[in-house]
Amino acid sequence: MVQGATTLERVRSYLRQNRSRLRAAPTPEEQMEMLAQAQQPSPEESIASLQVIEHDTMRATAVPPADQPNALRHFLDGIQRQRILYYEGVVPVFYAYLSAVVRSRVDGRMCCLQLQHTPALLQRDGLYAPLRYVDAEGLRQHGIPVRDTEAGTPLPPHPTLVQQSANRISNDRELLERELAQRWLQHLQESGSEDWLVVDGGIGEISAAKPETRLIGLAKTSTGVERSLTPEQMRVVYGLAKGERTSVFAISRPGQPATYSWFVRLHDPQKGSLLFGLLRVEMPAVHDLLKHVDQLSSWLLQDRVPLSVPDPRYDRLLYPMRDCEQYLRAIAPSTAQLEALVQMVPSTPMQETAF
Amino acid sequence: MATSAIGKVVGTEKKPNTAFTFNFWCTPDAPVGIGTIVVVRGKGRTVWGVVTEGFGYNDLEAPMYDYIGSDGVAEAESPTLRPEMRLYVASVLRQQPEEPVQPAPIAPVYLADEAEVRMALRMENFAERAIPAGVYRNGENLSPILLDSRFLLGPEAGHLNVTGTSGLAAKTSAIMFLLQAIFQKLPQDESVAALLFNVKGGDLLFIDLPPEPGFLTDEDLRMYDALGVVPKPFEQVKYYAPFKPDRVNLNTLRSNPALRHNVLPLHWGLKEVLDYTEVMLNRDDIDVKADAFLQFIKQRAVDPGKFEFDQEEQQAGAPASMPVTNFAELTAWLDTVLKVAESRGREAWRSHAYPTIRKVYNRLSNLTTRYRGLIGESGYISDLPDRFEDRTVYVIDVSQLEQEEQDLIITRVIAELRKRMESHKLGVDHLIVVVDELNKYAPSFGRETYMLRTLLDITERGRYLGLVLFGAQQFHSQVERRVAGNCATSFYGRIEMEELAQPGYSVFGQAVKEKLASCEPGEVLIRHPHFTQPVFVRFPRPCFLRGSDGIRKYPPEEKPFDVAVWETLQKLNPALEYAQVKAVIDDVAAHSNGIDEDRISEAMHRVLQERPDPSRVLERFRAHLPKQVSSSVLTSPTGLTGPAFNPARDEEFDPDDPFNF
Repeated sequence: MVQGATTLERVRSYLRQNRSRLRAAPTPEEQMEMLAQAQQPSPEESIASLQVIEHDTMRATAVPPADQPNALRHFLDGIQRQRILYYEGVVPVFYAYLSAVVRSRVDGRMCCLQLQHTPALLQRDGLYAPLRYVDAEGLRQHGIPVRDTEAGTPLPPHPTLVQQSANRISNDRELLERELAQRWLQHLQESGSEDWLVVDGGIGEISAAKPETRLIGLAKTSTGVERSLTPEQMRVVYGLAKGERTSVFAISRPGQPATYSWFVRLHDPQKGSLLFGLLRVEMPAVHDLLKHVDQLSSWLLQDRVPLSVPDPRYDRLLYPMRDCEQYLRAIAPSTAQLEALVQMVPSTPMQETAF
Repeated sequence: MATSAIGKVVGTEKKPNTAFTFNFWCTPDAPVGIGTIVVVRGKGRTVWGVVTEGFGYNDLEAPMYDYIGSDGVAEAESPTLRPEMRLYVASVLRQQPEEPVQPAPIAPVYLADEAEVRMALRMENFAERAIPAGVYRNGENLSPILLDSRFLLGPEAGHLNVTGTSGLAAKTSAIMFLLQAIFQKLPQDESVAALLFNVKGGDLLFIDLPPEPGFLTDEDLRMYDALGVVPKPFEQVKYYAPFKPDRVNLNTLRSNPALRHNVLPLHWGLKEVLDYTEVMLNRDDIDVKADAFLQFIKQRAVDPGKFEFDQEEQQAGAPASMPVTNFAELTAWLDTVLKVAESRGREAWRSHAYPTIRKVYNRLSNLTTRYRGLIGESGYISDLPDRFEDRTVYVIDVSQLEQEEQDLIITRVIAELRKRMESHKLGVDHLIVVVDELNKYAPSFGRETYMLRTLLDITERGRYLGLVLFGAQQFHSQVERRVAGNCATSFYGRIEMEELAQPGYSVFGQAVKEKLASCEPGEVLIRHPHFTQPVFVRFPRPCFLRGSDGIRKYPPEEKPFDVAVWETLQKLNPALEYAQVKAVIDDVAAHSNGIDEDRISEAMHRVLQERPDPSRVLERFRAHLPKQVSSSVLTSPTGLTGPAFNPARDEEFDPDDPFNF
């Protein structure tokens, strides 16, 4: 084992010793195509029920100006970076880097707070593969973290292997985000803070453990919810003007606690498509939190500036969330580093190994 | 080493680091700016650099995005501020290990403290011969910036060139402070003197007097303290000035009785100036023929001190021999030459054409009038000392003179110094001569003048021979490249942007140029052989009485003519009383048409030239004055009287042309 080295350095060491029996990874473009083909519908897209709880029927409401200072203080997001490093026989071995961060807004500046027991950043990386089909022992001996994608026997077809690894990586990233969110919610609760934690996407299982906490999720895409809207509700949602929000509705997904949600229009739809500036907000399904909906909506409207350009999702991507992404991308292993590892395994195998 | 890093080196494919420059980011509030010295501490390599360029960024890709985001409202509030950073480019000053030369490592960047500044500028290599030039300011800390005397005063390299806009405490102040530092810090076993020209007002006329209280600020005193230089005026100074047109009072603003003790006349005769006809006469005067005749005069008459006429010339009325040691004798000699030539029908005399001789006669005989207070008929010489004294400043005041007199003095002094340099007769190990307006005396365009050749020679060889040029000018681009290029050390104060646009400044980055264009008084950019890159330095005000304060405190006081004569003669005979001199002058006046100042001053100069025994000073003074001639009115026996001879009445009369050609 390479002492004191990073995972990437250990992988490099492993590849140096084993490359003669390994096969080259696909190009980035080929990999992107494989992942696209292997992608499955996300749980977000399946909604069990949608029920308006604020008014009799869903309607548009102008968001009143905020009467309190913006308390959307902490923002959480995560990223994953994955790459097939090599093939062992016909089995793809992924390297994945996962990270999640909470960036806090202090005096208008985004930063990572240095708290004693609550980390601002979680990072993990390792190799993902069905361990029974790869040299798991050799990898472990090199101190490389490995995650089993648990393919059964016989060996699944290649698209399935890719899909299993990709799913496992995504799940791990969600777990990482959830872990970080829960630690922060714990911290905010214990410290009696009035700050809100804002996470990217739905709040799903994050709110299960601590439903009473000040947590909202920002969903930039809401395909599943939109599918559940009635025509009248659709007219309200898509007809929102800038600065308006919908009535709050409760949604439930299979295997997840119910959440409250509403749409808010951040930008004038005349400047873009039907969905331009349309953001969906989720909060724990706690009745007492409903009183904050207007306040939260007005804070979100405040956060229209600065714009998150040049990100193409700038109409729905709040600047602090983009800051989280930028931060995580800045510290993630670079594409050049990963490609350098990929290049260590030659395109033509020097020695065939069969499993 | 500073305790915490202020930034970190970054290198990208588009903007990589090299062995000579590196990039690093900082937070906007980091105390870094153009000229800041930083140190990069990487694994196994330390790199020192000076910031030469800076950029400010936030994450905005285009201004339009901010406009759109703000809905066109400039004061729109935003809950989140975009992250802002500074990216600086630093030029490498030094790296360790020195070999192999490598780009700076990606590592934290620290502000350089005093020890780091010393390392960055290699100042530890010449500690025992260091001359403080100013301080590098790092926050509240002042780090001395030292120059190597062997590279400033020779022999390894030498000379200083200072560029700066006039009146902004860049040139003169920088040089004067440096001179004070040199006088104090140069090892005592090396002797040094300085020669300055005071060209404007009373700027350099009170440098031996302490400044007014409060003139030196606390900041100045802190800098003196940091540099180890004692804030005190020059201890030994001698001032020189030509006479005023009355030829008895000195033409200087340092004429207050309390300060006259170390003011000496600068007065030359024929021999001193004959080499500088190029300066005194205009170009049209000195054609090839005239130049040949001037050389003849110098070699055959002035250098030997007399001229022997041959038999044929004697037959034409010339004496066997004539002395030619001063302008009066030269005029008499030329009269004789012309008479001899006329007697031969105005043919050439000794192969020199008659008109040429006449032209030279006209021009030379006029010099004592044109340079009235500087060049005398009598041959009285009062010049710079034969040998300069250690730690002494010699100031020649030319501020009250016409331009042509200034040019003659500066040219001749510089040329004479070069001659002494050649013959190792300077008297000190290093003589620093300060020449302002170098673009005038060593211009980058035009013909090669005597002065330019002299300055070139000094800058090319002076460092070996102990003569060092501290030149200054407002426009570096207009100075002959070889003169400026031979100066191993350069200071740049505030410089106008038009000047900075000249090609000579292309070695500086845009940010450095912009800083130069806005340099504060007391701040200069220094280039020195030990410094891989130029560094910005602050220096304190030089410690002496400012010119305007000096003139207010010691107002100039012109002596009455007779008092000036008495005081001058008193230097030869301290017992001489005013009444005695006054009586002689009055006596002459009584028998003449009033006081003839020309004759009296001429007599005084002759006494000064003779330097008689004290007891004979008055006697010799009287002897050189016009004799009283007994006269009587003659009447024509026939009672006829005619008009008195008055050549000026003739419309064709030319006082410079006694022969009326």
